[in-house]
Amino acid sequence: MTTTPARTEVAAARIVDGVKVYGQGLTEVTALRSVTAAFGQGQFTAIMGPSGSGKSTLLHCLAGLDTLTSGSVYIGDVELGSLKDRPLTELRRDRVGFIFQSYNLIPTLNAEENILLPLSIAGRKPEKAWMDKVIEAVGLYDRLHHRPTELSGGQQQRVAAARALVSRPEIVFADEPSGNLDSKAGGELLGFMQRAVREFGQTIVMVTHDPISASYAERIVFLDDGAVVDTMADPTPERVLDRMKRLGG
Amino acid sequence: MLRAAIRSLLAHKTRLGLTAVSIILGVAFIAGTYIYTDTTNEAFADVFDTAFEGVDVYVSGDSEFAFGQGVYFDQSVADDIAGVAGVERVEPALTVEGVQVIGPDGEPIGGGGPPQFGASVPSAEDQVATSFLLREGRAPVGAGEVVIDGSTVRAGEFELGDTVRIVSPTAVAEQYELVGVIGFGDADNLAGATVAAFDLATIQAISGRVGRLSDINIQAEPGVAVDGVVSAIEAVLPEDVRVQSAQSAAEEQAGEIQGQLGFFTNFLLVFAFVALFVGSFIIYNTFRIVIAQRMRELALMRAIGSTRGQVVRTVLLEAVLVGVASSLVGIAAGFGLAVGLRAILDAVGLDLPSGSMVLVPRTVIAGLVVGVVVTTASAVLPAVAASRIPPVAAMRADELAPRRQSLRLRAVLGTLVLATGAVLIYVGLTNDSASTTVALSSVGIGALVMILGAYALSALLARPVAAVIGAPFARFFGVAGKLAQRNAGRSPRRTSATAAAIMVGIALITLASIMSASIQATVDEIFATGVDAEVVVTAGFDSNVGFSPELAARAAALPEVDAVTRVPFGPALLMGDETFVSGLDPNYADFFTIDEVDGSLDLATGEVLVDSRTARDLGWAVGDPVELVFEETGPQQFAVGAVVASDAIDGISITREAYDANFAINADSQVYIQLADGVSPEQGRDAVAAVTTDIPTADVQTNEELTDSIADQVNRLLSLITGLLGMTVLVALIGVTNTMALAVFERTREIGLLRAVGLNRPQTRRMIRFEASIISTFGALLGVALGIFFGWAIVQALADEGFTTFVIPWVALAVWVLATAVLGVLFAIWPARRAAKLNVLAAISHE
Repeated sequence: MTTTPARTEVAAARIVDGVKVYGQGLTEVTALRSVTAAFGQGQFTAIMGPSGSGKSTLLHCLAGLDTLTSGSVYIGDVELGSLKDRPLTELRRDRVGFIFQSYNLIPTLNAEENILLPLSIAGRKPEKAWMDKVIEAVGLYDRLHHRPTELSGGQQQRVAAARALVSRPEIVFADEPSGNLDSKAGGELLGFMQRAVREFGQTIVMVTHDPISASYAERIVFLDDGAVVDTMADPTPERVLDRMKRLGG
Repeated sequence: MLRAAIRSLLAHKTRLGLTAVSIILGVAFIAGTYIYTDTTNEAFADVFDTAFEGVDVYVSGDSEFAFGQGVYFDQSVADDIAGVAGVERVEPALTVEGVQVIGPDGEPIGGGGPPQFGASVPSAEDQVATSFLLREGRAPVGAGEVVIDGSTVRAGEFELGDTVRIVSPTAVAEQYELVGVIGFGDADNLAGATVAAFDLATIQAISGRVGRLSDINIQAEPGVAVDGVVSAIEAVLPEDVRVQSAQSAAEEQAGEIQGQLGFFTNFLLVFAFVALFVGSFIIYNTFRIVIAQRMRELALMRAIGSTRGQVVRTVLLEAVLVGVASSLVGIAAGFGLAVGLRAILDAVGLDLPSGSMVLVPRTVIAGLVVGVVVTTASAVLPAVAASRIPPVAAMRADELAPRRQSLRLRAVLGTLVLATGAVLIYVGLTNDSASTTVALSSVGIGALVMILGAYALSALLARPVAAVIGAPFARFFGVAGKLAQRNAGRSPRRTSATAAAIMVGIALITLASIMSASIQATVDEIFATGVDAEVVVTAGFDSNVGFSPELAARAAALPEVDAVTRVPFGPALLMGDETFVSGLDPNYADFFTIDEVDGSLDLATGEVLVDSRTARDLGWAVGDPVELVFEETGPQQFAVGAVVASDAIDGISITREAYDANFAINADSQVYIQLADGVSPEQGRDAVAAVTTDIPTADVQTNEELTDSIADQVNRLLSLITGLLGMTVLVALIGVTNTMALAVFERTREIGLLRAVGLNRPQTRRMIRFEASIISTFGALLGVALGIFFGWAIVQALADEGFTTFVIPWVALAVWVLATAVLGVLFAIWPARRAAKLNVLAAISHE
């Protein structure tokens, strides 16, 4: 099943007939079976599915962290499969933002340095106004010079989120960002991500298994056994849970 | 448990292989040294056995003078012995040192270690020592003939009938006809020594020992017990002559050589020890990191029921296995080292006899024991730490926060240990009453203790110093540099353990550099301000005797030369201890700058002149009586005539007249020459050299050339020492590779994150390489600081011996620090590449 992009411009990220196979012979596993999907600009999309559905694999391939066995992935109009390591790295640095479930921060850098990390790597300075806005939105103004060990789990994830946004990437990929947080901290983080999309026009694609987290998104793509099986617009936790029940075996 | 340990080791082959290198090096040094000296000792024993073949009883002079010419006794002793019952045949002999055969290039053949003998050839009826063989030609007869050993003949490309120039300490080169070639048993020479043999009367004349002998070889009648003959002969001997069986003589002489080799052995063993000391740091560090890595596994063992003791034993068992394996490899490598040692010594001119390699059980046991003990001891602390891992650590999914143990305890302990070491060194260097061995041990142990103390304290310095050293990297290399700077200071304990291994080698290199620079500066000063002579003639470093006084006479006659003073040196006993006494010409004060004088510089024949330091040590004042015992003339009475403070004068001196009266050998050790106005030092030197071509044993040099050649010698020794120590630094750098490889492994997720967020491969590599460079530089700086302290302490202690200047060769030290920084980068290339090659996705998901 295919999905239509929300807007008419080029999608922020696209995958066309994506196939990912691991292993060989008897141990062969097909994680993605000819997946085609597009993620529009300025949208907050969640990818959901039971474990083993291939949702993390899909995210990794979209983000350029993993390569497809066949098919193509586009960030904007750049096809990732054709890129060598250096340009791929630069693409991740300049055009993509990441929020991982855990271990997002470099322990030897303080919060501010972590936030500015991709920019420092590129040797660029941040836009002051934008940076102030992001830091304020994420509520970390008085924590900027603390090291990650001095921050709570929720604060660490918010630092990660700020980092993902500060370089104004075309798209942000989040892999279970609230997975390790308690419900309050998780809610705060997801709320911030929502604001980023609605107020700042960012594009976010998030993988999650939690219906409540998923409900923060505008659109959900359901994956089961390596294939897209359904989409849902304007989700609520109840509808999501309901749909999830009918997935998997 | 053994099997588990072996499997665990094999799983981490590379890491432990790198660690083992240091142990292998240390054990190789130990084994190689022992193999070499054992081999050489046995070869020498063979040589002396050969020399005494056919001889039953040996008679020689009894000399208390180690540096003397040996005691020479009257020829009539041989006649007395001939009349003793049981004596079949008597072979009187005269052997002297310092008789040199001049080769076709004008330089003496041989020298530089093995002695250069002049000997007498026995007549056919008298010959007892059967190994002394005439290979070609005939025995020499009369004053103009000589026979020479086969090796020297080959080296000089001589043929029978050639005219050969030979020099003795008292004469200029004379010419002789080569009438025969001799050998010793199967060998062409006697343990590398050169031998020029003449008939007895001739060698007596050449060496100034007319009517004297140095030894007698005696053959007993067949069937007569040797001991009986020995006692019988003893009865007829005068006081300074002794008798012993040939066997005991051979053993005694072989033993003397072994004693001298012993010094060399100890020198090399010190380096072995340094290598092992460095190795212990590396092993400690590696085991610590390995255990941190296996924390889950060890916690699991504890969770399912292993006791603490079992965990400790497991770790120690692995250490023992590593120790055994490394030691065995090291012993094998020791053979290679022994071969290499032989080659190096050959190249330096020390042609020691060799044979097949000797491997005694002592060598194997020593190597194994030392290797295993060092490895295991270094792993004890990490093993104990391993046993303290709480079982619950097996269950935790998240990372355990690093222990924030207080470094305060370390600071206190470290300072205490450092101070203790400093005190030990101080005591060792300043305590005059203790024997040399005790003093040296105190200094050595003190240095070791200080190094440990410095290591303990370095953990406190790691973070701030790494920040400073890393600042230029952070400034100029962006994120890669900044992360390197932060990471270097991140685990102070690990950084300091890695750096400390480098610190040891660099500290000793620094010490050697400081000593050599200070020696050179002192020598420069002596010759610049203390000596007033443009040209100096010395006996050359090879020779241990002087040259003919003819040289001074001829130089004085030259128009270019204004004045000449001669200085001979000879041994004398002062209160039972052997010391060197010099003879001063009446004009000596014109040549040597004298800063202060007590008494009169105008020395009378019955007076001695002594330098102020020696006078102070001995408690002498002007007028005090002094008794000197000379080899030739026995005890002689003097009085202190002058106490002087001078850079150039050291020890005890008597007038030339007194010297000539008490020493039979009339040879000069040094001649100082002042040139006429308008003559350049080079012109003067050339003029003197031109008229003394037949005294090749004398080196004619300008003042400057002499200090340069002394500097050269010092530098050569420094290079040798630095080379050996440099090896330990390289081994320590392997420790850096180890640490970085493990750091990369530990930071897999972090590196994955950085790569995900946009750090490219070159930047990743730089980050790792720079961190290694910072750590290495830290170690080098610590080493330099420690080495400067050691150097200062030693120079202070030696100030009494004449060490006037303390020089720190800053440029050389800076070069070493820089070299270490660069090498740190090189040794991190492999871990850096591994870091950059990490698969980003796998890294992020790494547990």
